[in-house]
Amino acid sequence: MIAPLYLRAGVRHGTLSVPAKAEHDFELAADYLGQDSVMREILVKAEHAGRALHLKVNCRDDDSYDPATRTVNWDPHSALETTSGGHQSPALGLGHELDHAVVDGRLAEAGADAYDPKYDNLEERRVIVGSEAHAARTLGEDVRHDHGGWTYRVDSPVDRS
Amino acid sequence: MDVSRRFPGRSILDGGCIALPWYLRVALDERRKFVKLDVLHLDDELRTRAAIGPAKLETLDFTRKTLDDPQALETIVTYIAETEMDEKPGRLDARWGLIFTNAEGQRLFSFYLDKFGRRAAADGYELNLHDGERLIDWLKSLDS
Repeated sequence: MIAPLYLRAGVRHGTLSVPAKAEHDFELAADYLGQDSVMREILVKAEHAGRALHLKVNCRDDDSYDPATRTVNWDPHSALETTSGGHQSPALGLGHELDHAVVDGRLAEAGADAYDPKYDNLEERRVIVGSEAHAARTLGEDVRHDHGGWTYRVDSPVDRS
Repeated sequence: MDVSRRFPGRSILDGGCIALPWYLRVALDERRKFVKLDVLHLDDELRTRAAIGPAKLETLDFTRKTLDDPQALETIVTYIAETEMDEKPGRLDARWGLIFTNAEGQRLFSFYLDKFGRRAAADGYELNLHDGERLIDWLKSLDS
C-alpha cells in the first residue's frame, strides 16, 4: 500500500510527522505555543508518543483529531471567534487538537464521551477549560466558555486579526 | 400518518399531544413528495475544535448513505414526528444530517442531529430533543 502523500513528504518531530509544506507554519505555531508550560508539555508528549501521530494540513477550517488514524487535521490560517466575541489564533487550535491526540487512552474510555450540555462532551470540556484556557491566558488570547465558535481567515498561524 | 396531532389517542393530561413545531409539521406534511433520503454521518469519535453546525458538517469528510425505499423513509419520518422536541436556541454539534429530496432532486427538508440525539436543527431552527435516542439507534442500524 502506498502511504498518503502527506506521510511521504513529511518532517519527523519524534513521533509526530508534519508535512514538509506545513513545516514553517508548524514551527511558528509550536514556538508560539511553547511559551505556555501546559502546551509545551503537550508538544513534548506529541513528539514522544507511544505511536506515530500525523499532522495533516488543510485550508477549509478543519481543526480536528481523528483517533482512528491518529491524525490531527489543522488549518494554519483558520482563527476562531468565540461565542462571547473573543478571538483565538490558529496555533491555539493546533494545541487544542494535540491535547486530544496525546491524552491517555484510558482517560478517553473513562466517560470522556459522555454528554455535556455546555461543552458537548466531557473530553471537550477537559481540553477547553484545561490546556486551552491555560494557554489562552499565557498568550493573551481569549478564553472560551463553551465548545462553540466561528472560524475566520488570518495571514499567520499566530494571528488573531 | 397524521403529524398535525401526535399521539392522537392521548391527551395533554396523560402526557400526550405534544405539538410538533409548526415548521416541522409543514415539512413533514409534504412527506409524500420525499423520494430520497441522504444520510450524512460524521464519525462520532472525531474531535473538533468547535461544535459542527449543519453547514460545516457538509464540508467535512462524512459518509453518505442514500435511501429510496418508501418504507424506510416513512419509518424515519414517523420517528421524527413522534420525537418529543421543543425549540431552544443553542449550539448543535452535528454528526448526522438527513436530507430529504423530491423526484427532481430538490431539497425539501433537512434535519441534523448530534451523536446523542439530544440536540437537532431543522431548516435553521434549533431544537432540544427529549427522546431522540430512537432516531440515533435507527440511523446506526443502517451501518449494520
